Amino acid sequence: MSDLIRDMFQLVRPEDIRVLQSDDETGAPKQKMGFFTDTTLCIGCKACEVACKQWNQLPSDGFNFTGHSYDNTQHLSESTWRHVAFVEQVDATRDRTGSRWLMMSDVCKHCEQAPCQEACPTGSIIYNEFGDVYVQPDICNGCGYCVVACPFGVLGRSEEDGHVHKCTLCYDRQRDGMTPACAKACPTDSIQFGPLDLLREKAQERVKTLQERGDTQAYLYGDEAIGDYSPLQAFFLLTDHPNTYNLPEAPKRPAKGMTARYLFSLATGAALTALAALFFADGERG
Amino acid sequence: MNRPDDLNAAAPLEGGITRPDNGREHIRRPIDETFPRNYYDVPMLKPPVWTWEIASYFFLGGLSGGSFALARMADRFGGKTMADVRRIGTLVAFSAFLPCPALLIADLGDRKRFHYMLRVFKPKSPMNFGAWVLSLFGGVLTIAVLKEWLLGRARGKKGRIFSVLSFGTDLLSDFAGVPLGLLLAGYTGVLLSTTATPIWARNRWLGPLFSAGAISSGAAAIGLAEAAMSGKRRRSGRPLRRVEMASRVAEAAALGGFLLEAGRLAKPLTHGKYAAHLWVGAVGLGLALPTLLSALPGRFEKSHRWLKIGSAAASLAGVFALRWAITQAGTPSANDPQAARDVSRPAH
Repeated sequence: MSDLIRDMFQLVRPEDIRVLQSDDETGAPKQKMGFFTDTTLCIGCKACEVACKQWNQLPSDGFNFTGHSYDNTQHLSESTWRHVAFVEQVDATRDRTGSRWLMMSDVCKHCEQAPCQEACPTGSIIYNEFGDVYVQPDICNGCGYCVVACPFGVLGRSEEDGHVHKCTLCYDRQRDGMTPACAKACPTDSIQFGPLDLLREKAQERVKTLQERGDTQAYLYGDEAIGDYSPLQAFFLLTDHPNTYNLPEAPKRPAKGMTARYLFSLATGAALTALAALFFADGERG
Repeated sequence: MNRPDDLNAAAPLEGGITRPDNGREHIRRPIDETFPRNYYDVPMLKPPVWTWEIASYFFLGGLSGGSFALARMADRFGGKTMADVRRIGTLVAFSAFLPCPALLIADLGDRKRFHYMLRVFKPKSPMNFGAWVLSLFGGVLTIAVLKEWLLGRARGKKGRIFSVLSFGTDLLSDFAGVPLGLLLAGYTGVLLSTTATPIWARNRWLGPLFSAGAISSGAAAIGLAEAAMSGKRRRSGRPLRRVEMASRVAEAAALGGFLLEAGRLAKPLTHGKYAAHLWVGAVGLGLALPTLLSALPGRFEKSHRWLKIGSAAASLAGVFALRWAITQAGTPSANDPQAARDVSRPAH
């Protein structure tokens, strides 16, 4: 019966959407693919930003100078899906050996349990067959709820078409067996693309190597769950506190505790309605 | 934009020549003590893209749900003496409801795709759930209004079909309409709390706050409509005032809970641009003034129609001001990188 109703109204269950997108007859997602961004290898050339803009034909963000660093892009947005952060740490001691430049190519984190996907009311945001979080441009109606749901500030709504856009992890290239544009363009392999389990292994080895070499501050951000937040399918190797790169220290899943909040809200309304019933029954007495 | 403090403290180079290293040890200072943990104070989050329509919808949707619940309670438990509340409450609910879909559609990036909201049923998304609640509530409300209209026209003897239909619509209104109305009143608060915006993020009190505001604005709107229609004294006056008082107390408590739980994150609301909306509008006009007026000796309010109208209008303005301030304060909150860092601390 419920199947019939669903067919009649062409309703799609959210859990079906994941399956619908799979080429595979079994409906199982193919191998999960992701990014590993090793910030110790980044030289800040911004080739990833350019390659992303070119391949995805993203509009210009204008010609702005921030004046604080070589970073004139500042943040990810609907028209910027890769953003290179420049952290300039200048040591004030006499020998200045503590100075360093931290560069990090930021991108949509493709969270395993993505708040934007949970928030999306139209089912436009899905997990595709590569396990990546994808905004279907022909479904999005620009409600803007994912914009405030994302704890990384990744998504933006375009003024041009009114839809939300973000990194697709080059879904189109992946379908043709190609590497995403940014990873392809990266000259130092700071951006690596591949099957997630392999990437995570590789990343852990890299951290070990760095630590052995004396870079004891190297660690992985998002390769596994951060508190109650799901692992990120685009994770990072960092050498400073996440806030230094404008990343949240421990992102929070907005939907956590939502049911309790609904109940609390309904209980308030119901209690006041019951009181109203009493007052109406009392009439002018009391 | 803040530069790292150390940049200013750096010793000037002499004539652009690097100072020779006089055999000093190269010690890397612990990073976390030396350099500020922020990124030039660039915002970490994106502010809401919503404009005035959303706060207005939050107000009108709540008003509609609240007044409908009151209308039904008056009908069920107040009987014939409260028939005015039923009639006026249903009409108030319907008039408040009418602009809601239009407001929501106007705020979309792609308006012609508004019906995609009902493409899936996805209760995990408060926005989707709300779209379903709004649609269903609209249906029930329309039926209730039609019944009210027919009831008004069918003077004198009423047939059996009419009474069966009337019984059915009342049942629908009570068992579907009232819960849907309460959901409509409160889901908007839950929707805001299910975001990453620091001032709203996972705050348990937003739902109760919006629910209580919906009931108090519903009672105020019914009272206002009654007083505006005629100056005659009604039996529904006292219960309505008591409902308003109770929900105002609940609203004040929920507001206190919200501000306490948000703590420092509530700063964009309690200070700055929206402070006047909160303190003068929501607290002064919405909570304090009507409470003071109702504390006047009984004969004042009962005899002064304009006092009644003024009090109800102030109460409505206060509920709107609160919705407005809380919704709009999302923008400065999301743009404050310190708030974003604070809300994402592991212990928060």
